[in-house]
Amino acid sequence: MKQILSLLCIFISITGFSQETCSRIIDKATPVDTARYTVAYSLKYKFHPGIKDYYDDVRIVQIGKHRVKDYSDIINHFDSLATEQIRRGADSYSNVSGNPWPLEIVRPVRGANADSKYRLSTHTFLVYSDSVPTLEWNFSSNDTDTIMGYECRKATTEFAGRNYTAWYAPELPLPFGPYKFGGLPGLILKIEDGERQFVWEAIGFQQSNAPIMEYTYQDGNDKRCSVSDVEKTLVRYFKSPVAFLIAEMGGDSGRVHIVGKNGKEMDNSEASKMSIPYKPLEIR
Amino acid sequence: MQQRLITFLISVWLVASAIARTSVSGVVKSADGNRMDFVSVIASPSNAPKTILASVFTDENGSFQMSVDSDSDSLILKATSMEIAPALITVPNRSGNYDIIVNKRTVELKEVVVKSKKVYSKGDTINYNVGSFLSNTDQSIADVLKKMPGITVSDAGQVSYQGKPIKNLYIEGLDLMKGHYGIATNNIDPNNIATVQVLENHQDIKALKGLRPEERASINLRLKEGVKGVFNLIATLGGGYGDKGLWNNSAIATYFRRNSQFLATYKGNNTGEDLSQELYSFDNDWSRTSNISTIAMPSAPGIDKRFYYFNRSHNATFNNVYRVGKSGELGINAAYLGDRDTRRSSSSTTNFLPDGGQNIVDENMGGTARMQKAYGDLTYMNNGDENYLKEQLKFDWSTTDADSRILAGSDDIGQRGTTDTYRLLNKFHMTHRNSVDRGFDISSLVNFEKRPHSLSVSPNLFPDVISGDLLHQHVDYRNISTENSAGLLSALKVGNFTLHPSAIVNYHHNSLESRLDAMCNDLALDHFDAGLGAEMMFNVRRIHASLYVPMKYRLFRLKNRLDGNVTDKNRCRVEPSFNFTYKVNSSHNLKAAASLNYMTPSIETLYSGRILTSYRQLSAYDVAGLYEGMNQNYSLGYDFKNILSMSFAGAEVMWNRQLPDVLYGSYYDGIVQHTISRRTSENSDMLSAKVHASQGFDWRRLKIGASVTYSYYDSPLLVQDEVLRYTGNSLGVNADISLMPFKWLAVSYQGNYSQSATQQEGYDRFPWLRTVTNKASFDFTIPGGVSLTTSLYHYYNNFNDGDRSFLLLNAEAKYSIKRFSFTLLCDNLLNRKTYVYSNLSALTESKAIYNIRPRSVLLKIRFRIL
Repeated sequence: MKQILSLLCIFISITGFSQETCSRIIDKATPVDTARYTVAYSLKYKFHPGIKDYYDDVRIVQIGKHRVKDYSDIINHFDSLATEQIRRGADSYSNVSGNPWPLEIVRPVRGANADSKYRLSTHTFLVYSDSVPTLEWNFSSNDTDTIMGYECRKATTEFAGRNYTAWYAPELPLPFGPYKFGGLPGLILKIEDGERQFVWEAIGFQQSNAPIMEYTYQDGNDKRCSVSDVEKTLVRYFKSPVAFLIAEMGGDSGRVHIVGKNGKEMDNSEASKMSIPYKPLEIR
Repeated sequence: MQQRLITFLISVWLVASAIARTSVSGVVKSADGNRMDFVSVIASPSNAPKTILASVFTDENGSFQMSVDSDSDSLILKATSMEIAPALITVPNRSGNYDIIVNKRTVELKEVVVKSKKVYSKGDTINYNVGSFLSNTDQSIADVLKKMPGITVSDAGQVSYQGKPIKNLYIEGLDLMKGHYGIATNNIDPNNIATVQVLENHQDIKALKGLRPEERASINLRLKEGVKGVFNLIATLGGGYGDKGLWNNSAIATYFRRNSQFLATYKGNNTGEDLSQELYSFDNDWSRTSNISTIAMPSAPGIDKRFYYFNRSHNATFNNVYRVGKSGELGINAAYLGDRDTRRSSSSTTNFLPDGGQNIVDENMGGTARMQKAYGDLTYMNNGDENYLKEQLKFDWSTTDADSRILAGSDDIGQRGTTDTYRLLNKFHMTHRNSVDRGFDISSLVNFEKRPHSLSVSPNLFPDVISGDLLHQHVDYRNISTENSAGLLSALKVGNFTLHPSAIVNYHHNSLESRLDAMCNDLALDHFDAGLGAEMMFNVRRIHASLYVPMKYRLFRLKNRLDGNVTDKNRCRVEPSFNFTYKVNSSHNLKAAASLNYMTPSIETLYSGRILTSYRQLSAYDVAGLYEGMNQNYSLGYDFKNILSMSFAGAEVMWNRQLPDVLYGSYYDGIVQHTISRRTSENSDMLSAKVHASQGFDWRRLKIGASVTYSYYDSPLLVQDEVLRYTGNSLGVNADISLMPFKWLAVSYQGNYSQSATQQEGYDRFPWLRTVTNKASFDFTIPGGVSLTTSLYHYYNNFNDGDRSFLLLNAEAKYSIKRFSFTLLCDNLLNRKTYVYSNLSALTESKAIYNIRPRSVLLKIRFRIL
């Protein structure tokens, strides 16, 4: 697969430039737990609070007896599509469309370490262990809201340099939520940071007995690294995505073609100077 | 010193605050002593139970511990989890150990998930959640399909996905309807369907999966759990009054199980509901014969049929399918239709002649057609991974008896005609594939058809040619055909190229007998095709290209049995076709196609003895000979879809060139006309372009669809023994919108604008014909379970004299109680009596006035018997 990807010239349109997320073949899968509940969240996010438009994703949070997995339904859809195409004998497959959040996180229901995977650009796939915080929540006794027919109460917390407001449903006494959030006396149905850079809102909740799968991607692009490596890589990527891609393609800038806003191909050295404003979710 | 004092004060404060905090611990246990893990324990002050002081979860041993800071005398400890009933205990605000005993119970989840996704996809399947598109007034699944982005339903009931008709419609994976799927989409209650699945590029023959690409999609209806294995019988009785008594009754029986399905329907009405449409087969099993003579009846105006259809119709259908073994299916489909149609119109037809003159025919026509038809299909199919077999036997029968009276100029003409058709069709298809993807594919079709028909006209409008005052003509047109092909799957594979060789043998025997006074025809035309073909396919990454080159030896033999004269013609023909697709990614798709083929001579244009083709047209073909014309087709297309944003779009450009050897036309002489023909080297071109887009929104269930079509043609025309050329332009814009702005209101709109004009070479262009159609419906749900629907129909035609706009209004009220549902329908509230319609096509302009069904009231009661 790596060879196929390397053979392709990469055409990138700078207009909607965010991240080119690549599908993965998910035929090697191990069930690690059984989900008792599945929550679907719509996630609206942007890479910097100063950017006007949001990207959309649909996140699935599977809650099992031992593990909680949070992943992008959109990426999973394209992964299954690609796997099916390859199974049928195709030589290549469709890439992920839209701009889903390329993070997958599996954490134990108790415990402080999560296994995370971040798909960055077409090649790099960061695999790392991350910490899960114990959050100190402040409960508000008066504010209520109704989400999906469930009455929700408000709680606030501070985590990794941001203030969060969460709405949780006491009717659903599950101490979980999206990403690393949890520890409330009810399932978090909505949570957003003070700058509204990340907004999760539940759009579905159901009982389940689907397996929680752990996928082994055998394309050699996985990079085991530490949390600080991930942060540095992301900062480097957003500072100059084009330079990052050229470096990723083995430094051969002839294989990367950048299409500008006017639809015309741009000079790579000019394009390399362009950066994307970025503020990480966790400000450490 | 100062530093020591600060340290001392901080220590005192810390100790004091530690004393103020209460440390609460304990165990959460069930009544039988089991310790419960993951139970949420919340502490609240007893004087403010809504305030949360602390919240923890029990560990694996059911233990919890928390510290609470409160001045309340006592605390409320509340234990909740998904597996237990909430439990409350009140404890003193003192540190201590407090156990909570709980009862096991499962939390009931809310049934309605408010924002479940409307459209989602897995692999090549796109799922539409029916509940997200359904409104109160939807009667059948077809009503809901119309509101789904990417899907359109034609007036005839044909379902298309991305502008292309679907291949099969399945119910729970079984092909119950076999092409007659209009019966299912028109009658199945949408409340019984959970999901509509679009299976894109669905190769329904498992043995061909991955070997033969399929362009068309299929649709699968997934039923709700409660519907499976339950026998349903729903009846509707309706009665009312217009200018006479009205009735509209129906009964629908369904039974869907995993291994068998059953659907039977009966419908009957005289309220203008067309029952023939839903019996139409979308299988492309076209008839090999057609009527040589037709009984002139008022033609259809360009408005909804229910407004001008004065009918008395009944239909009954029976559909059954059983699973046989692991991969087999046995299906039976049968139907009957009885119909009487009475029409009345006054029309004026103007034919523009080469010398600049006009031929005008005024007709005042009233007639009744009585038709009965029936079909019966028996199908066996075995669709295994390696072997596919389909054997289908179809029988069709119909009889039509029509009479009409026409006032044309000073003539008062009476005519009567009958047509009977009998047809037996056998289709066989077999595919075998082995483990290395090699194998064969065989298909065969045998068709027997007979179409005797007659026409009687009085008085004789052709006294110069035929003697007598009463004309009586009998025509019999018969066909025996067999079409066979056999091919090898992946016989040769080199790199990305595969080659599928095939062989074809086709034989058609057509005969035509006619008798009109002393004029007779007795002809037989045999057409034999045999040849070899090769399909070359190239597949790499996202590109798929195929070139099919059949080389045929073609023999035609025309025998005139009256004089024993035999004309032969034989030659070799190559009819290549080329297809190319480039799947850019899951959203974008490019395609191109080109093909060339030859027209075959038809017995319908080879007879030399005169035949009365209508009461005022006499035909015979002087250009004797077996001529073949040529057709060339080219197309280029682009498709876009984005499931996540529910966006679907596409564009297509097509060019068609015809090079006919012979031109057929008319010679007008007063109200009568004669068919004429002449050899030609002229060609005709048609260029058309279409852009379509459809967008679904989560907001208020909004769907917007639009398409724009443009076509240009340049053709020869034979009129009064002269060959003219004419050009035409037409532009069509279609839009459809459905929206639910409030819970109590659903709105849908369909609009069409078209403009067209033709121009005869050397003359000025005819004025633009502009027509507009607007249909809007408003569904109101008012408290008490009553829904009201108002439908507005607006037609505009700029060629009409006087009132160019025409407005019709219908209203409907529906109320359901238990298993009864009452509907009160009021049609044509404005009580319009007639409709004027004008048209211009080629060099013929027509204007006609039609009678419209009067204002009427109908009450329908729908109830579930079983």
